[in-house]
Formats: sequence, C-alpha cells, structure tokens
Amino acid sequence: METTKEKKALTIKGLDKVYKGGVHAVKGVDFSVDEGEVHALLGPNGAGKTTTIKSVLGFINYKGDIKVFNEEIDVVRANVAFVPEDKSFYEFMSPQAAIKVCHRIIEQFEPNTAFDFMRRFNLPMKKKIKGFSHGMKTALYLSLCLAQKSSLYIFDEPTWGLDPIRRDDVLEIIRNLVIDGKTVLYTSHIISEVEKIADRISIMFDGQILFSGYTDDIKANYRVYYMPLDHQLPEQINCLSAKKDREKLIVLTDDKQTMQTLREVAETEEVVPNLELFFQTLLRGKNYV
Amino acid sequence: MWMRIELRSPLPVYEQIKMGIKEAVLTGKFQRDSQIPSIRELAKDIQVNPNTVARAYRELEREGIIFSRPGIGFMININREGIKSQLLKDFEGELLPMVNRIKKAGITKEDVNEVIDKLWKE
Repeated sequence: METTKEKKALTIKGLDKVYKGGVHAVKGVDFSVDEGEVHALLGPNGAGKTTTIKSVLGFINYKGDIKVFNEEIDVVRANVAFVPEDKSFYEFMSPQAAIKVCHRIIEQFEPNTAFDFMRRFNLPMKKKIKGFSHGMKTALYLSLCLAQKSSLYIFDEPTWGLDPIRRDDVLEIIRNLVIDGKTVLYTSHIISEVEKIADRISIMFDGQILFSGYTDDIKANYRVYYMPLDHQLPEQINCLSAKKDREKLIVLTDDKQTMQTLREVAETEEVVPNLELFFQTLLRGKNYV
Repeated sequence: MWMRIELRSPLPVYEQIKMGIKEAVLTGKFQRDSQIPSIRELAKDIQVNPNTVARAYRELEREGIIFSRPGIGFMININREGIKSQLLKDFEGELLPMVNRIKKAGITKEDVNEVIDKLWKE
C-alpha cells in the first residue's frame, strides 16, 4: 500500500530455535517492522512469540538473521527498551529502589518519568514488589521501560493482568510513542485492542508465521465464506484457510478468482472479517483435509 | 463524540475516518475552510493509531477533500454539494455491476424503482 520505502527498525530472516530437550519453538520465521509503526505479534500460547522476542533481544541462541536498525542487537542495545514476559526481576525491592537501580545500570534512563508513570498507575512506591499483583507488576515494568529513552520499544504482553481502564492507559501510551516517532513491537492475545492500535500484525502458530500484513488491509482484501457442509471444494483452492465446523464449511481467502467461484455456490454467505474473525478462522483452519 | 469507530464495520478503520470527515461536512459540522482536528487530537479522541489517522488524511488530501496549511493544520477544501456529488459518483461505481446483472436478468427499470421505493420507506 505504501509507496515510500520505509526504514526497517527490525528484520528477522529464517529465525529458528530448538531448545535443549528438543522443543522446536520457532521454525523459520521471517518478518520485519518498519520505523514508526506499531507491530503486534499475535498467537495462542506456545506459538513462539516470546521465543521470537527473546531472540531479538539476544537473550537466547538461535539460528537465522536478526537485525535491529540494520545492526546486531548488541550495537544498538541502548536504543531498545523492553518489558519482559517474566516479570520477577525486582522482587525484593520497592518500586523506589528499582528506579534507583535502573538509573544506575541503564543508559538514558529518566527517573522522573518512571516516578510519573508509577504514580499514574497508582503503585505503592515503598512496598516490596514481591507482594504485587500481576497487573501491578506489569505496570511497574512498563513504567521502568517507558522511562528509558529509546527508538524501539518491545513489550511482551503489556496489558497482562491490567484492568480495562489501565489497559486503555497503556494503549494511549503506545499511541503517544507513535506520535513521538518511536517504533513498537508487542505481543498480545487481546485481539480487539490490537485492531485499533497496530499498523501491522504478524500471526504466529506452532513456531511459524501464518500471516503478516497491514491491519487495515484485512478488511479491504480478505473475505470469509460460509457454505453448506456438503459442498465439495475444488481440489486446488487458493485460500489462507478452510475448515468445517458443525454446521458450515468456512473458507478464508484474498484471491479474487476464488471469491468469484465461491460466490456462485448456492447458499453462500460472504462476510468481511474483522481481526477477531480473521484470527479465529486462520488458526482453526489449519487442520482442514 | 462526532466520529465513532466500529470494529465490527466491514470498513477498515482508515476508511471509517475518511467517511466520518465526509459526513461531518454533509451534516454541516465542518464547512469549507473549517479546521479539522490534528492527527494527534483525532487519534486520541477515537483511540486509534495516529498512523491510521495520518493515512486517512493523506488520502483525503489526495482526493481534494482537505488540504494542509503548514503551521496551522488541516482544513476542509470542499463544500456540502461537492461531497454529495462525490458520494453519488462512488455509489454509481458500486451500482454499475448490480445494474448490469439486473439488465441481464431481464428485470425492468420500473421493477427496480418499485424495490427502491419500498426500501426507501423502511
């Protein structure tokens, strides 16, 4: 859709990760994130999202090629802020103490910004973090992350455990990062919030990317067809997913020719998918024979 | 809020924003040379990604519906009648394949008028 060539904040090529013990968590993943965009990495638990992010941050060994702002992660690490999936690092400190530690070890860390965010999230500044709820820990890590001046922000489940009002706060924070020209990569499993905030999405399943593209282009280009169960699909059908449920045969496609063909089928219903339907149909259609 | 984004709508978010601006001209909320909200303001109000608002504004600018004045912001560049005739043209494009199908099926214009009359009253 865009004619200008965007600069890449992140490119991932052929990422592959097998953990000790043989779990093949990521199986040849490619995707990229443009500068200034919000990119959401979606998928069910165990899809490989967190492994992908850990690889980007250089926390684990992997096969493949990852560049952040066209460099190795270690060259540009000061320019990348992140919220980890495992939020148990500052357990024995208070938020106040955690800010001090971050100020000492992180370049370009602004303690006042961290204080401001923690106040906004209503965190008790002097209590031990160990006793915090999931939502409070998420808020704490977000505050510390946002206080670091960076070009790329990576959040693993940034709304995990937050109530709906705090979740809206986080989405507003992400919007403000975009206005300031920052790039955001984040994982989530709350699809409705992603639809409003993400420029692009990549959907992962079983260690692979099933789809990567612009959120707005889904409604423009994709259609879901509901057909009677007994309808015989042609041997060769150009579609992203096809599945049967109890009542209908369901096909997801962006191929104009296929759309023409399916519209002709008796009792077909054509639907413009929102992100939720697109996501569900894509994932559930993996097993059609 | 004068503009609402419906995620269930078959229109992508940026199309809904474009439509929202056009409708605001039709209802008289904005007139020619009215200033419209900045990208940042609108993104905050309707809680969407600023890049999406920017895309909608870029397309509206290309279509001649708004123009940007450096240092001031985006202004409306069209009047109500202009939008109306543009919308009619859009509908014409959407109706063409349907009209062709109707003709092919041997249905007369009078028959179609009857259907439209009925739908109009609903």
